[in-house]
Amino acid sequence: MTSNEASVVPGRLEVASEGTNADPVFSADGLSKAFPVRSNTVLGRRRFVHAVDSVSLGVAEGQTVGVVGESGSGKSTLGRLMTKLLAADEGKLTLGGRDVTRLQRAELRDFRRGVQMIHQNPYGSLDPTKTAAHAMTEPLLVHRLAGRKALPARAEELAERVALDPRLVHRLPEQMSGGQRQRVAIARSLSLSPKVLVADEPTSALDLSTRSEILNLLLQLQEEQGLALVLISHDFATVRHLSHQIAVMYLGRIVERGPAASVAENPKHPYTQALLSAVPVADPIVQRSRQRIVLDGEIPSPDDVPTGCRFRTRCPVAMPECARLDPPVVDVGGGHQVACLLHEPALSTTASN
Amino acid sequence: MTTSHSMPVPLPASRRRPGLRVLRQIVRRPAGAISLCLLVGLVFVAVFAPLIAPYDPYDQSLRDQFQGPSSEHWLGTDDFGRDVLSRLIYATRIVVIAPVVAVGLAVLVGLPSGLFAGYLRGRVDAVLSRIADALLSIPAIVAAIAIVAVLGPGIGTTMIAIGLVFAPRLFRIVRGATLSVVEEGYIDAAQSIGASTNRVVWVHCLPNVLAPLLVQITLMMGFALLAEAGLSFLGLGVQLPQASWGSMLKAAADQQFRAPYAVIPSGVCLTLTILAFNTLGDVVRDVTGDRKTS
Amino acid sequence: MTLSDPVSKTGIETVLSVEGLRLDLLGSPGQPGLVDDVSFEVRAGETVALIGESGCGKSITALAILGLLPAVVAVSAGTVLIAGEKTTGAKARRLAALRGSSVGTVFQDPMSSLNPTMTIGAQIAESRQLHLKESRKVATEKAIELLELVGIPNPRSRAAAYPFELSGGMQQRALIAAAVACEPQLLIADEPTTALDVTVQAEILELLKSIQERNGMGVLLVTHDLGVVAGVADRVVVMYAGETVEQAQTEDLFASPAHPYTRALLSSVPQTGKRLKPLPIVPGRVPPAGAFPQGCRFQDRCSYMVPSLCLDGTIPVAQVHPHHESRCLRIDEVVRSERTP
Repeated sequence: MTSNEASVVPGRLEVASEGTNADPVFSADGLSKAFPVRSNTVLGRRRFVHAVDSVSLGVAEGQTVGVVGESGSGKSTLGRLMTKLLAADEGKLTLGGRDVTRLQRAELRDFRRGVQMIHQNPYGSLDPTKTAAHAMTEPLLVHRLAGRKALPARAEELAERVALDPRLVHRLPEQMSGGQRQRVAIARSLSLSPKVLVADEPTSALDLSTRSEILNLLLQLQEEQGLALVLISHDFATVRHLSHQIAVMYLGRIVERGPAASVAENPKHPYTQALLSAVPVADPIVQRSRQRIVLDGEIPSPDDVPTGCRFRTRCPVAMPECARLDPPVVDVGGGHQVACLLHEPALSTTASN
Repeated sequence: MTTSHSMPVPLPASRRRPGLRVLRQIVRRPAGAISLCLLVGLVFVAVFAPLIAPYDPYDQSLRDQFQGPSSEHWLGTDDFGRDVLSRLIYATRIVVIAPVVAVGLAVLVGLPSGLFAGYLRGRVDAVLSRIADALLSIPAIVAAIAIVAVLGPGIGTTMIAIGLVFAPRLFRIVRGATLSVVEEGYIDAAQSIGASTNRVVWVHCLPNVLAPLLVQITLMMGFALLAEAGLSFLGLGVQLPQASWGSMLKAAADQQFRAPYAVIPSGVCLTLTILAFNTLGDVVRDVTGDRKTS
Repeated sequence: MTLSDPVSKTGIETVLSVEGLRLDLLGSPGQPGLVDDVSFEVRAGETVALIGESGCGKSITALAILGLLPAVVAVSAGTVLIAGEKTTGAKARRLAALRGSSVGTVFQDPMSSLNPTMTIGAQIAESRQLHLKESRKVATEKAIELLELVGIPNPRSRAAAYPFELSGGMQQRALIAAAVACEPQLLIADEPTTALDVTVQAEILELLKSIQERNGMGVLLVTHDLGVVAGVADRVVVMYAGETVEQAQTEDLFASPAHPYTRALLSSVPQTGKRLKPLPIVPGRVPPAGAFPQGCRFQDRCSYMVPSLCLDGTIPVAQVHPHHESRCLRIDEVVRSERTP
């Protein structure tokens, strides 16, 4: 896609195949999910929280797309939609060229073989009553890819692949450290040899030194197997480290996306700029000389999103038009897209008229 | 990457099954060990009753009624001159079987419905919960009497009645525990590897609701025994000449002015056994609770 | 043993002084302490960061300072002085009187630190009523002022709100307002921003800084986030396996770490320019309490370890230069080597 045909669909970003020189193996197109909320009034209109609102995202083989956002951005819901743990209200999912939006039970099982998830908290994502070996090989059993007799050997193989001491495979989760548990969780996801891995905050519950071990493991596995990785995190440094593409979410929408270096070093959306300015840098000299962009107020409640641009209530450079227009997506070059009126060339002419 | 891959070494105690570990922890506590011993002893007595009992429990001898304890009849005789000790020993069979059958029935009904209601939520849960609420609104003993009245008296119907009264209570407990387990990440994880609903429920939910369930089952055993005794006391349970501690208590109570001592053996047995069940329930609660927080 | 000069020399009051603190798990005699030989100071107006990974003993040290140790842990050696008053061995009542008046505390999770059944205003007013013997009316007015100070909009109406009606960031602000209500000389903040979003984190850290500038309190910041440390700490105390392993001015520590653990910790932070490359890692993990090795506690993870030196006895703290100390026998080699291994 080139910049002159960028703003075709207002408020929606196109599948990010740009800059990766590869077709996405897995993509979401215009995914939306709203949750009903109980309203206080008896006869009041039923209200909805639009957790994810027409979000499109694609990831190519061997590539990582990082999704960054703060709480309330809908990033975790997006992860659950993409792994079909939640059914989307609208939108389309495509895996390897096949439409996988609506699936029968048997097809869903096939989908699960292709798309696996790593959950945020290794303390919660492992069944406390099952050993590591059981956790790692259960997918093989469920999908009838190995007989019961073959499981112990497969468990050791999987342990090797994630560099977990094979002596630990008979332990229960409570007898393992956080890093070991996360290795077990990763091994479980890998046991089906998926094409795509969706990782929701895979390291945020871990200590600093353990965190780098897990990040290294993900990098290594991606290199070995050409995994397509969707990395969902609130931590910009982690996303930056692992991702080829970065998408920034705010209140259920992707507000900016593009090649990682471009988004990280040259953010265009005021929210991305503010977010980046708030991420502390572990260098006292750099950190103390930085100027933080201060945002007004707090993230609005997702059941009452502002009209027009969702960020306008806190945006330091908001214009009157922002309340009226849903900002279209503009390509600022090199596949770097931003949904902000500041970067909309047509607007500057209308504004001057 | 960081872990060494040296040759396998023998595993620590961790490899043992969690169930066994709970049992070990129960036995390590005096209260747990004593109550467990008592209950295991009861099972032993029930199984070997014909070998242990000095007399035939149904042998009447009207000349010997209401005898006090003696070297011949250690606990004396009852209103028909039957040996009380032998009757107590044979009655342990009811004590052992009745609560197991009754609670077993409650588990059979309450456990699957509770698991699926908690896991699936929505309409399934709404319907099952309303049924349970309706059943729970009837006082337990009234419900049990009503069921026995419909099905006719007898030990079999008594057990069915008690089981049906307990089922909705068990349902509520299982459902509640399942609701909180479903929020855990490993349920998500099980779904995302493609496990079927049945597998998620039985393989992942069940073992994790087992702790509160175990406590409840133990306590219910005690209640079931008490309820059986109560119904037998009212003449709705065990029918003559079969003996249960409840019916023996009733017979003794009827004659309390002629033989005030006669209520003691069955009364003490009943009290001790129910105490054992309740103590065991508390210990199980402590032990499994500890395991969760550690 | 501590870095700082005595009070008289600098002219700045020392609000917290921890000297040779050792904590032991009761009923485990002969074992190495949970925390051993921990010494550091916090002076008025200064922010000292206490850093380390989970299990390093930083949170239990903070609890020991507050006199809030769990019943199974006891102070077996060393002293803690808060504003010149010895608190180790002090009576429980005296400690309670100090908490909230001389020492304010802010914990990680604001929701569980606030009482859900009390209004925000009442909770802030409570400590003034308790410690300063103010009437409820006066204290409540002061609470509203404090809410304004911590940047809560509409402080008067928010004072009447319950904790659940506030967002996480606002709750943490309210908690800070409660912590500084009696103008404490020392604020202990245990992971105050870990549960918050980065934009909110930045605001909270700035808030703490501005309060500190106003009332000159000393801040002990317990954290594992090196970015936060770089931004707000004047000095850093690094803990590992229950010991302080390095102390220095923040710039000094980041520029030339003198302990292998600090060095490893700093290099494991994802950095720009090294994208998509494996990060350097510290092999192994922190030994669990009770299994600390003889000699240097970092020995089996250390790339500078020399068997003849590091495996025996206790490793003393040594000066790197006057305001920088490290518990390592090979400081020269560590400092001389490249910044990132």
